Amino acid sequence: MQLPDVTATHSLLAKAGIDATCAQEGPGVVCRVPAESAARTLEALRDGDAAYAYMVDLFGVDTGEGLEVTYHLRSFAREEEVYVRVAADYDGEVPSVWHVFPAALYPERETAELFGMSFPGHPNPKRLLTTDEVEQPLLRRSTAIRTPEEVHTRD
Amino acid sequence: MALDKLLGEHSIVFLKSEEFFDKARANSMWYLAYGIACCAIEGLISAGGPRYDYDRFGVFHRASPRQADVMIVAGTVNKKMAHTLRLLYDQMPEPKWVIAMGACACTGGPFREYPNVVLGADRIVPIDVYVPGCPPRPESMLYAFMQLREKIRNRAKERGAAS
Repeated sequence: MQLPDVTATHSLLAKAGIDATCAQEGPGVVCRVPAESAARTLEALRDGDAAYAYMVDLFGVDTGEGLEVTYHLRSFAREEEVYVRVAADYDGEVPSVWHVFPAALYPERETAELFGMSFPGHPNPKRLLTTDEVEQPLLRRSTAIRTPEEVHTRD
Repeated sequence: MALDKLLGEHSIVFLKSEEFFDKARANSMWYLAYGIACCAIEGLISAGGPRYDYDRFGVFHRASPRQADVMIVAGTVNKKMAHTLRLLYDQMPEPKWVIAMGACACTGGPFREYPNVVLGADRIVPIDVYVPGCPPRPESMLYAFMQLREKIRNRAKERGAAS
């Protein structure tokens, strides 16, 4: 798997009218776009020359200042991978991209549940992993874990 | 029959009916195949396979709680699974026993700090034998069944002494 050309990816997105900043970061080439143009970005990458036809993963990150949703795409034609990243507020919204990649249906439910955000446009926005008794979003930094005393006394 | 070999052919044995049932219970503990985490690989699958071979103690796995005597809670119980655990326990016929296998089922284990984890299966169902380890070796599960057997035999003895 090799890294895609940063400038070519950026010009592809600019041609589609998307305000993106592409750079080589930790995991590879990361394109940061506004949340409302996430679906259009994925569409442009999927239908562009490099043909990123496969969504490997969709995951959330709590950066401490806000949430980030990352879409991980792969191109089998060029053996390249690209990450699209959007920022969201705590309890914020990122429009669903399931109509571009149906593979996003389950990870969107998971991310919405574990980070306490929502993906408007999702056809089935129920919780996926936990039950009603678990109220806090479990993967948030602000979610309190049990203290040593609670663990010791098993309360 | 094995009893013939022990006591000679055509022998007659006198014992109380409950004692007889307890003998049967101690020698055929069918467990519910209910693996909820990595412990299931050691405690249910490996121990039930040919190398450790539960079968020689009369310990078989059953796919339905209605046919099971013993439930092995093999793994972390979280709040979502707690409902299922209780439901399956309630479906098992009396008399029934529960073995808490591994650190997670005993106390919450390495996941004890997280708010969605139940701090031990004994919060949900009564436990007869606790097996420490993460995960316990199949030998320790065999030992747990021997302890459970001892428990059933002691109960039979106590009942015999009381009556």
